Amino acid sequence: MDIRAIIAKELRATGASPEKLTLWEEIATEFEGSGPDGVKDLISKRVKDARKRATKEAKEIGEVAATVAKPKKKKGRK
Amino acid sequence: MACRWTVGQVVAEGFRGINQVVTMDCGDDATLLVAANGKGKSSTLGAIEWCLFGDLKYQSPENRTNDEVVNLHGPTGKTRVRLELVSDEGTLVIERTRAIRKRETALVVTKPDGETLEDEEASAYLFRTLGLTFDDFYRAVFLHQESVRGLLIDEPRVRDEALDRLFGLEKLRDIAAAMPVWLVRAAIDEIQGKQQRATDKLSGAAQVAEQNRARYLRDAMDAGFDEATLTFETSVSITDDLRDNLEVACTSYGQPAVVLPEVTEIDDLEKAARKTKDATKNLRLAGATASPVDKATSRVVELQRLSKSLVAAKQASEEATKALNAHRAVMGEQEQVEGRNSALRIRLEELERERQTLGARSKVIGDALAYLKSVPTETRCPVCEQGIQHDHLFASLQRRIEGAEREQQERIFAETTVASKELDQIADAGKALAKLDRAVQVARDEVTNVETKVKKAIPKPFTDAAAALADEERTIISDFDALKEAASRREQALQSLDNKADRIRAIHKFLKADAEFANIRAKAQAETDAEAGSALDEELESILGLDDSLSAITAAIAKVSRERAAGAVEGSRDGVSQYYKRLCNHPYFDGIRIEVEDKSIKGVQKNSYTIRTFSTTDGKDSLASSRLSTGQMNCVALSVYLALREVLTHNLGFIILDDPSQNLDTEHKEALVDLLSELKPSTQLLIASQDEEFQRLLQKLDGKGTKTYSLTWTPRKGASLVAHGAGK
Repeated sequence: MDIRAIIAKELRATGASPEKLTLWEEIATEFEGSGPDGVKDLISKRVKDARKRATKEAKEIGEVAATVAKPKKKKGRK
Repeated sequence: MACRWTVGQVVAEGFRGINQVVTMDCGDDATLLVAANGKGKSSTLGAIEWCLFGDLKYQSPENRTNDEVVNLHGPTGKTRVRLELVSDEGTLVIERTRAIRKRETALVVTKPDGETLEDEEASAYLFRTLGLTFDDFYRAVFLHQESVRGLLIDEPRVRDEALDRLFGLEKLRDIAAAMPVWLVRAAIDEIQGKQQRATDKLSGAAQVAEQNRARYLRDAMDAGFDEATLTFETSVSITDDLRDNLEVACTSYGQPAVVLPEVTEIDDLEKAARKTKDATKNLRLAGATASPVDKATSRVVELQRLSKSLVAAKQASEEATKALNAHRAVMGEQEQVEGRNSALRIRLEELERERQTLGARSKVIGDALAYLKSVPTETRCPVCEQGIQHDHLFASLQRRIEGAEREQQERIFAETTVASKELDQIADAGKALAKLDRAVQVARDEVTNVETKVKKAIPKPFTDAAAALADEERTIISDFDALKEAASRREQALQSLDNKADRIRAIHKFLKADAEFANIRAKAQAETDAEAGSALDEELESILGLDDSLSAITAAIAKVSRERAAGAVEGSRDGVSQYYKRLCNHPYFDGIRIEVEDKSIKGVQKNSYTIRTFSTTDGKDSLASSRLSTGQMNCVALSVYLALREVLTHNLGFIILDDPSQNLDTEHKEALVDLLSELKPSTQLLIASQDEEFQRLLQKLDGKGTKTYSLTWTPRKGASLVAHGAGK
C-alpha cells in the first residue's frame, strides 16, 4: 500500500491546498526516512521556529515599549 | 493466471541464532520445524523474510544498527541467506549478505533464465515478480507470533494496533500518532498570548510616550520656546552660539578651552549640555580658588581672629597680675612670710621641750605616790634614807600633781595649737602665691605668642599690635566692593552659559520624547494594521496554517484508515466466519464479526475495533474478549490471518506459520491441522512448532511432499537441522 499516494489523493479529493500536500509529502518522507521520530521532529521544528520568531518579535516590541520611560516624579514641595 | 512461487531451499549462515551453514530443503506440500523453544526455529523462518526484504518486521528499530541480524560467533563475520523459489517458470535464486556492523545488505537475484540482478535492480525485480510489499508479506504470508499476540490482550489500544497491523494500517496509525497536534495547539495559545501582551505593552507605552511629550513640551515652553521653534535646527543654532560663548569664557578666565561637539543627532544635544555644565562647574571652582573677594574675606577673618585672641590674652594677663598683687597685700612679700614661718617653728620646738620636761617631773611624782600607797608604814625615803612623814608627804605630792602641773600642760597645748594653725596658713599662702606667679607668667607668654602671630600676619613694623590689626582690616574692607562687583559679573556670565545649556536640554528632552512617541505610534500602528500584517500576525497565521494542514492530514489519514479497515473487514468477513467456525467450534457463539469505528485519542482519529462473537441460531452477540478463552481468541486471530491472506493477491504460493498452536487445546489443534491439510495442495506450508502434541497431529500432513526437521542448538555451532520422516 503506497500510503504517500493514497493520502495525497485523499487530500486532493478534499480540495486541500498545495501547502497541505507539500506538508504531507514532507511528513511521508520523514516517516520513511526516520520513522515516527522524524515526523515529530519535523513538526516540532516548525513549531519551535514559529515560537522562536514570535518570541523574538514580542521581545523587540517589549524593547521598543521599554524605551519609553515613565518620567521621574520631581522631588521637593508636596 | 500468474505463477505461484514456493520455497525450494533455504541456506542460511551466520543469521541470528544460526551460526554455521544450515540447509533446509523444503517439501512441495509442507515443511515442519519441530523443536523446543530457543533452538532456532524462528531464526530459520526469519531467514526467508530477511532474504526477500532485507528487514525483519518485529525487530525493534534501535537494534537495527546493532548486530541482531549477524550472528556474533559466525566464522565469516557476516550473514548470508540463499533462498531458492520454485515455480513453473523455473528456479529463482535470491541471495542476501550483510557484514557485521554494517547496515547495508547486498542482494543478488538470479532469474530463471540465468540473468543476474543486483541490489536495487534486484529488489525492483523481486517486487514485480512476487507482487507484494514487505508489509503485505507478513500479513499475507508470514503469521508472526507477535501479530497474534495483540489480539489476545484485553486492552483495546493493543487490540486496535494488532488489527491495524493485520490490515496493513499500522503506518497510517503510526504517522497519525507521531504528529504532535497538541504541541501546535499549545504554540497557538502561546503566540496568541504573546500577541495580546505585546499589544498591551505597546498601548501602555504609547500612552506614556504621549504624556512625556506633553510634559517636555510644557517644560520647553517654560524655558521660552514655542512648539513651532522646537526643532533640531533651533537646537543646533543655540549650541553653536553656546560653543562661541564658552570658548570666550574659558579664555577670559584663564582656563583651557572647552570645545563642544558638533551636533549631528538628537543625543549630541545632551552631550553638549552636559559638557557645558561641567565646564561652568569647573570655571566656578577655579574662580573660587583664586577669587580676590574670597582671599580678602579670609584675611579679614584671620585678622579679626588674631585681634580677639590678643584682647583675650591681655585681659587674662591683667587679671592674673591683679590677683597676685591682692594676695601680696594680704600676706606680705615672700621674705616676710618666710621669717614668720621660721619664728613659729622655733616657738613650736620650745613648747615641745617644755612639755617633755614637765612630763618627766610628773612621772617621778606619780612613781612616789604609787610607792607610798603600796607601803603605808614607810618612814624613810627609799632613795636618800632620810626620815619622812608618810601621810603628809602623800597628800602634798597628790596636790601638786592635780593643780600646778595640769595648768602648765594646758597652756603648752593651747600655745602649740595656735602656732601650728598659723604655720599651716603660712604654708597655704605660699602655695597660692606660687600658683598666681605661674598664672601671670602663662598669661604673659600667651600675649607674646599672639603678638608674634600678629607680626607674621602684618609684615610692616608696628608698635601696637591691636592698632595694627585694626588698620589692616580697615584697609582690606575698603577694597571689598570692587572685588564683589567683578565676581558678580563673572557669575552672571557663567549663569548665562548654564541657562543656554538648560535650554538645549529642554529641546533635547522634547525632541527625544517626540521621536519616541512617533516611533511607538508607528510600531503600534504596524501591529494593529490588519492589512499590513505584523510579524506576530504572520507567525500566528503560519502556526494556524500548520494546525489546519495537520488537521486536514489527520482527517485524511483517519478517513483512509477507516475505509481500508472497513474494506478489509468486509472482504474477509466470510472467510473469517468460516475459519472461526471450523477452528473454534464454539457450541453457541458460532459466528464472529469485526466492527470498526472512529475513535479520537488525544485529538487524533484512530480506528477502534470491536470483535464480537454471535450465535447464528438466535443472533445474540457478545464481546469476543469477554466470552472467549485465550485459546479461542487465538482461533480468532488465526481465522483473521487465514482469511486476510486470501483477500490480498500476490504470487507467493506458501505461508509461514510460526508457532500457531499457542494456547490451543487438543480439539482446536486438530481443527487447525485439518484446516492446514486442506490448504496443502494449493499452498505450501512452512510451520514451526515447539508443541509436542501439535507436532504429533502434524504427522497427518506427512507424506511424500512433506519434510520434517528437528533442530538442535549449541553456543558454538548455533542451530543445526536434522531431517526426519517420509520426506527425508
